[in-house]
Amino acid sequence: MNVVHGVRLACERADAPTLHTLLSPDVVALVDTGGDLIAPTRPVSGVSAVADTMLATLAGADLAEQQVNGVCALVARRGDRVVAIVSLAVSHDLVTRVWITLSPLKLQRWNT
Amino acid sequence: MTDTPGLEQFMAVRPRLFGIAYRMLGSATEAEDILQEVWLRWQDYDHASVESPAAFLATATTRLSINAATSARARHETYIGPWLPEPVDTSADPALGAERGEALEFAVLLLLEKLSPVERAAYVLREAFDYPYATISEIVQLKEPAVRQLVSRARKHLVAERRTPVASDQQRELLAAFLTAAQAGDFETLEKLFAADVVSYSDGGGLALAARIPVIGDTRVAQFVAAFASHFWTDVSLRWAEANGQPAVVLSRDGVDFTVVSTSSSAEGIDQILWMMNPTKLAGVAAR
Repeated sequence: MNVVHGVRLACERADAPTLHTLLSPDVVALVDTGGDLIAPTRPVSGVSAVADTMLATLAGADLAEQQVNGVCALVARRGDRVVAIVSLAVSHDLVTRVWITLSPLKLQRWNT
Repeated sequence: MTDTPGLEQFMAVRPRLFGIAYRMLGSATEAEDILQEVWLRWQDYDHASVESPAAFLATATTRLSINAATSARARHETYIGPWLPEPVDTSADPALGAERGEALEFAVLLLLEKLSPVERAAYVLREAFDYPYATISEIVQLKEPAVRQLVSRARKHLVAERRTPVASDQQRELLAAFLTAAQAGDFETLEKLFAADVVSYSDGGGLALAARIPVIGDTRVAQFVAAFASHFWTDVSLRWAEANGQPAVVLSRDGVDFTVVSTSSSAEGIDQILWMMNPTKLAGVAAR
């Protein structure tokens, strides 16, 4: 819970060093774009690559902590539109997995 | 309220049906399609002949979901980039039609993807919805012992990937035992302390000392640790610390901290060792 909050603050402030301290050394990020957008098409691994991906994806968006799939996640909005959902798996107070949904089809229900 | 035949029974179990289909497919949109199909079938059915509408509807939903999951699998294989489940807002309904919020997290849904659709159905009905094995066996049309086996296999599969960490005093004991064996270069004890798929990570921040790639497996990690025992621990003093809420040990030589070692452990033993040697990160951990 606190980790998600920490990630939110670090992303909002584009604070890479703080974000690094919240990520596990074996962290992996997966980005689902639905095939339409420019984003990594392969899993991203390692602290700095994952942090870069998160910061680039979420730059300038408003982030909210919200229950998604039963656990606390980050919902990113630009204006009224949900543009990304970031789900996190946390183990021993470090983020071990990051799942970023950008696919417009998968965000459709969030924007109706 | 309404006189559409069958609507009341359908609406009464709708959240549960959605919960089944969503967990099976990882897609709210596809789950809605399934429910639409179930509703059409139910509408055309002779309601009087159905003893338990709830069971009938759950069966139809599960079977349609099994079919849909089979074709979805093929689509996911050709998907461009990673495929993730469609996220669902659970702030209103944390359990999403189930008694428990079981099998909703991304981690579990992605693991369910690796199971066969029937295996997935058996697991979801059992774990999230508490269906008796006899009922599941009717729904998926397999004998009860086979269903029990499917569920138990699925469980093992999931547990293996999602272990529950042991309590923190045990974490500390295991770390202490690890350090003693590591300093002694005691290969056999090390191997016994490790889970079979233990991983050793070194974060050297470019320093030559650190292994650049993770070492994986009890035997290999034990060999790796035992191999550098002779020189690595010479004149080293140890100090207990905490790193990210985990017990850790700071190693210093001549009063200079040079490494923080932390481990994480599950019931199977130590499953992760982290050697933090990166000078820029070291300062933060060691200071705590």
